[in-house]
Amino acid sequence: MDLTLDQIGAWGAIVGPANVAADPKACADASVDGRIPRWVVRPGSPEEAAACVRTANDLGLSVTPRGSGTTLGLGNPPSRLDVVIDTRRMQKVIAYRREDFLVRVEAGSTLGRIDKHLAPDGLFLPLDPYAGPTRSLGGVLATGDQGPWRERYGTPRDLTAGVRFITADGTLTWGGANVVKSVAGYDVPKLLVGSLGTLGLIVEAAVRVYPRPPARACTFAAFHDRADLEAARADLVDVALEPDRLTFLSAGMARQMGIDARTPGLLVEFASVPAAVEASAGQWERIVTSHHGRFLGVPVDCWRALGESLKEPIRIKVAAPPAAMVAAWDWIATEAQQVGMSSEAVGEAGAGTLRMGLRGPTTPGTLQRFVRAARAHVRALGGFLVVERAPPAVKEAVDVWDELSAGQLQLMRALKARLDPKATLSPGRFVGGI
Amino acid sequence: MRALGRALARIVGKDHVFSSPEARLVYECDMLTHIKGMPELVVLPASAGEVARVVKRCHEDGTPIVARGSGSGLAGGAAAPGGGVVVGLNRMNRILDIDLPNRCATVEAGVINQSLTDRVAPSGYLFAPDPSSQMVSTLGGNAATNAGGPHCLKKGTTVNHVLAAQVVTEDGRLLWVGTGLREGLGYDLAGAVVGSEGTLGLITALKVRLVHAAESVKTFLASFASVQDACAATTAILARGVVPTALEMMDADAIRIVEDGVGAGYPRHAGAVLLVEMDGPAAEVDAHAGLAQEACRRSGAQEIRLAQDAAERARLWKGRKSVAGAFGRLGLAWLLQDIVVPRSRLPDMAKALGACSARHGVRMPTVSHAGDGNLHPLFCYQPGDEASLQRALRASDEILHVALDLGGSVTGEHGVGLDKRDKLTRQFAPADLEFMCRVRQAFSPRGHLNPGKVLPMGIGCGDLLPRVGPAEQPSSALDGGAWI
Repeated sequence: MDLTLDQIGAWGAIVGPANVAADPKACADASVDGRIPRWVVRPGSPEEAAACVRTANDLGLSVTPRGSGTTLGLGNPPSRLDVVIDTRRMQKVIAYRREDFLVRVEAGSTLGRIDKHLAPDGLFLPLDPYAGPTRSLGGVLATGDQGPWRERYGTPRDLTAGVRFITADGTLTWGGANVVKSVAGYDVPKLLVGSLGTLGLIVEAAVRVYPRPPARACTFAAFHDRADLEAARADLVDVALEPDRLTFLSAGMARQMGIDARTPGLLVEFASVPAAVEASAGQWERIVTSHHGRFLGVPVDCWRALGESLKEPIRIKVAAPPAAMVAAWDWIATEAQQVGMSSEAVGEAGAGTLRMGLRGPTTPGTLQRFVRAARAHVRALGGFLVVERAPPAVKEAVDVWDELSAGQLQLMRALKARLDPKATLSPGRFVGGI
Repeated sequence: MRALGRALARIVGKDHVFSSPEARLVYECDMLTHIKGMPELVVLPASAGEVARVVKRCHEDGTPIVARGSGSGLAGGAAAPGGGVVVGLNRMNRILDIDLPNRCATVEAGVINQSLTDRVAPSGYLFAPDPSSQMVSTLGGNAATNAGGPHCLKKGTTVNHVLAAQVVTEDGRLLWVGTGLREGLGYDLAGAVVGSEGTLGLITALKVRLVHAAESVKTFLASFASVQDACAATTAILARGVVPTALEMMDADAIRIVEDGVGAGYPRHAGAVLLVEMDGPAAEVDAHAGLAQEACRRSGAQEIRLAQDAAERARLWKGRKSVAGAFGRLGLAWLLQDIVVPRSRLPDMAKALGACSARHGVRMPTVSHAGDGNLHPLFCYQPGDEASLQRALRASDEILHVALDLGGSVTGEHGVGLDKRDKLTRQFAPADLEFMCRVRQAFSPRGHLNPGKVLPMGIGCGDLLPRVGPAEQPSSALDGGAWI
């Protein structure tokens, strides 16, 4: 389709001329995997966003949503990239009552902004994905990302009660409920969360919030021996302790967070009333000591530092059975070293989700072999591996998503075909090239 | 149908196919007994492979399928008003794998909820979702309806505990959806299938999370002069930053019915009681129990009884869990609601319930998962008295609309089935339902999986789904023995 002035005018008529960009610089800033969109539009309301999607769908143009832009590198390179819809002007709080423990906000709101809204009431939104406070809620839901808080509070899947979204044909649609418990109709939020903007453009969500515990204690225990580390981890999850966050850190990652570590270890936080925090920390201390671990000092703002980590040019996510995660890390780190790369790792040690940042002189070919070998190893452990960030040349050579069974992929393609028959929404970026 | 019966008998064995009216009678409804629909055949397969072959054969034949667990559902989801074949999954009751290091278990769909917890309890673990039917309901049925239970306030409903589901698709393919890990890959198919009431696939097995039992548990019963006071206490407990494991409410009528029935020792003249349970680290439970009791006192609690030991805790729970049984002795029939309101609107709902009862002259004792804003009023009527039934229906319908006007939901945990199907048009806009229809068509292009359930007829692409007659009007009493 030709770029015509009429079309630029069409976007401007919807969102106002000031909120349309077609100049090379603005478009390059919104590039995805090196591909440059033709327009960036910034709708100010869900209705405007719906009109944009409808127009694009009618014209046969693709729509790729973006929030803060921190995670645009996730997924395959887009097969088409025409219009980027930037959600950041949509930041309203739609509904919030303290006693409901639920807040309904527009998708462009950042996690930090939502938290600021909740803080005076002693509540918080327990989402701490990497690059946390600056990320938009819509982006976090679309990627399904979550950080260490998942140990206690679950993931966006568990926290999202309702979503308002725009379907491929530009229809404003609601799924789920404005209450914390509902089984009326299909659980549409489950399908939207983690779908990377391929089934709908999320413009609003109702998410669960929680009371902020009055006390916290955060400790880092370093271990010389991997087997000791795993044994301590296993003991921690096999007792009645209820940590808020249970995080594995490679030694270098711990140092990035201001911990003077020479070996990997576990960063564990308990949050509750002071007496319970103290008792839990004491019990954890006994487990660590029994497995020859050693406690090191932790800076107060360590979690913020963790959020800023994993900025390496290549990042992988490994999902493993929790008891196999440390072994998976060990194997992959060793393999990376052998091909001349350094690696740092953060793992949600109760859930078995490990992220590794990789850096170093290597060719796309070497990296391709490395990813294949690591993936084969992880699969043998019962897990899977996703390349969350990589240079476009690497992405061309490996499947960034892991393999799904033919049956599952068939169902996913059927969903996409029914819900977005013209492949308008984020084409090509998702599993199986959806 | 006779040829199909013979074909299915070759798959599951002739002893496991029922075609006579007497044998099929028990399958004509679930616990929503006033909506009936008898299947033409009932088959009881012994394995997922058999289920897949049965479904494939029915698909070739163009015959619809209804999956069934123990039949303890409350929304008519297991009835077969369009006929077809009911696939009963109770013979598939093996626990296939317990993996404590990874805190999960793999079970066949027919495993009884309680038996999984019984199996892992000696190791200190449990399966957290605990619908009141857990002694009889199957995990497959719990997943199909996304069952809740008193303790889901803290621990989440069934969907939060399912890591993967083995399903048979409409055309008879057997596959696992979900990764079996705590991280997803691709669309959350398991999240969609759970709670879809057998319309997107037949669940034959599940991989579920296990959680470690808490270090400490405390339970207390607080009595109040009125439901309004109990609602205020509920809000006050949450406002103190305490999220109990369970926060249950019963009104005056429900208390008296339970006391007359089973004598759980509840204060007979109270206007309402709250049953509050906390679990977690001992020091946290002590502190939170203190805060919650203080919140109750400040909201006008007349008496607070803290269970001193496990036996006393069991006695307090006995009152709550005997509600349905105790009601059965009244000789009354009732219609059960499952509405949800935002927690801040509980006092408004309480007022509406009182006014509605007076206006229609309908007795409506109410038990609630107050912490979730999920209420179960029981609209009583005289069996065989058509006028009294009509009054109960009108009152029930009115309350449902009040819940929606307050921003709530028509069902919190029982499901849509046939009972709430046509109410969804009140809760959702046509575009919302259209989206759900498309989801259904992606999984089940013919609409032959539990046809006529969940999605209302006559909306958008719903017209493409096979039509199944409107739910019958109630014709008989829902007599005791349901779990709510």
